[in-house]
Amino acid sequence: MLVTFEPGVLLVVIAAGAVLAVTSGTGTATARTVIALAPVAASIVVIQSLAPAVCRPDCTPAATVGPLTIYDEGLSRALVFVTRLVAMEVVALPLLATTHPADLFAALRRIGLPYQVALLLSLSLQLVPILRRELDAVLAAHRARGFRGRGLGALAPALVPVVAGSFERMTTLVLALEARALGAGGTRTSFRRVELGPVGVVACVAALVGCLAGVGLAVARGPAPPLSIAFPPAVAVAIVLGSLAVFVLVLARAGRALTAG
Amino acid sequence: MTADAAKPSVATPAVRHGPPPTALIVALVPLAVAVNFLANSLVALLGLPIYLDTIGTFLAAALLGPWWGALAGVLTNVVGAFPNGVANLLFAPVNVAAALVWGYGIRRLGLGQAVLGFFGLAVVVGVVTGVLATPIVLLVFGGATGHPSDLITATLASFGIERAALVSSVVTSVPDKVIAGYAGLAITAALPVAVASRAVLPEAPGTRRLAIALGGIVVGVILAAVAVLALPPG
Repeated sequence: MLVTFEPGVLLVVIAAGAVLAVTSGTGTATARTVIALAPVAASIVVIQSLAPAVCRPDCTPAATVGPLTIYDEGLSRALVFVTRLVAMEVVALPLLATTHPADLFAALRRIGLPYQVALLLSLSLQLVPILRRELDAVLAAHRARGFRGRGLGALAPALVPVVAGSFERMTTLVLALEARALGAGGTRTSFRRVELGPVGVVACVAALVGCLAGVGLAVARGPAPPLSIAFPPAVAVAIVLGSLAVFVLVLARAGRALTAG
Repeated sequence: MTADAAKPSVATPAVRHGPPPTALIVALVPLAVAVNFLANSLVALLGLPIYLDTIGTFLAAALLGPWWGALAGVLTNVVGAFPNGVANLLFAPVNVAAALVWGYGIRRLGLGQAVLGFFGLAVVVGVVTGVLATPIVLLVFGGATGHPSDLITATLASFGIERAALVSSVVTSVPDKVIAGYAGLAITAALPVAVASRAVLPEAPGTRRLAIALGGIVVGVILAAVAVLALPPG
């Protein structure tokens, strides 16, 4: 996805990813993640459509709103960037949503990932929700004592006790792991067993070949000429104003948080 | 924690050199990853115009070594891919660079010994990571990331999207790393002395160290405010 700007290819990838998401029962999670890209998409549309980098100085104006001129080339490129991002997420999310992290790490260990790294990854993934719960408890304790930290002022008082407490918890955990021969030599075994059957091999080879073919094709064809879709003025204005509204909301929230500290 | 941190330490133990024990690595690296993730989630929750995804990277790089910090950085982006999407993975080299600069700066060059050196190192980390993030932001996101720093990019876009993205990235990255560094310093003050003494950090035992850390955070806040608010929309 990262080597092409061709909307046709990207739309095919999105369609394939959508089918994958629906058939694997992860459609809702995938849709949620795609919706979460809205602020990024809004920023891309605003910046690219108002100040396109690919066509200067011969950009084609699509519409004018007050002092702002929207250009076809910028808006087209912005939509391609958004499509690329969506394609990347839609294809990867079903894998992440349907695979238990431990299975993923066990599979990676089979292709050479050191078990120490897999262990650190597993511990990190387990620690995140624990720390999040502790952070909630600390913030609740702050509130109970009348401390209502906002903005940057809330960060250090919330983080430091959580980390200090967690370090003790981790030390206990490590003692338990050492008692179970952490760091000892020899072949490590795992409770998780990931078998690589014929279907898996075919899928891996197909993915690898597809990836290499895609990169090769993109390199052979060279950089694509700047895409320029002739947007009806009303459509261009609607897309950019909608994006601008999201963009301004993000900025307003940041401004409030910064001044609240 | 405040009470413990506020206790004046009777004697500062000598800095512990040599490779870190496995137990410490297994305890500290996941903690660093979780801290990175948690702080980043917290600033997103508060809507702050910074990232703070390198506090744990700083801790691992300073207390364990640059390459352990780099591992913590990579793992942060891998862990972040599960809830936030795979685009997170593309920023792993930035976290690695932060760890290497911090780790070698503190442990090899001794830049963490004085307050000024520590501040300067945080600024260098900010510049390096800001520059490194720029091509990723341009190639993958077209210069925008949905972060409040996009205001700077949008304002300067008429100078060229590449230059605007570079300025925006560096200007937000520097205060971010200063805040992250000093927040990390505040955390080391709350860690057991045997762990905290693995790195030479600004000499400020007890409350003084916390005061310096908080002073650094205030400086970072001011820089962040300047970065986001000083440039009006174009």
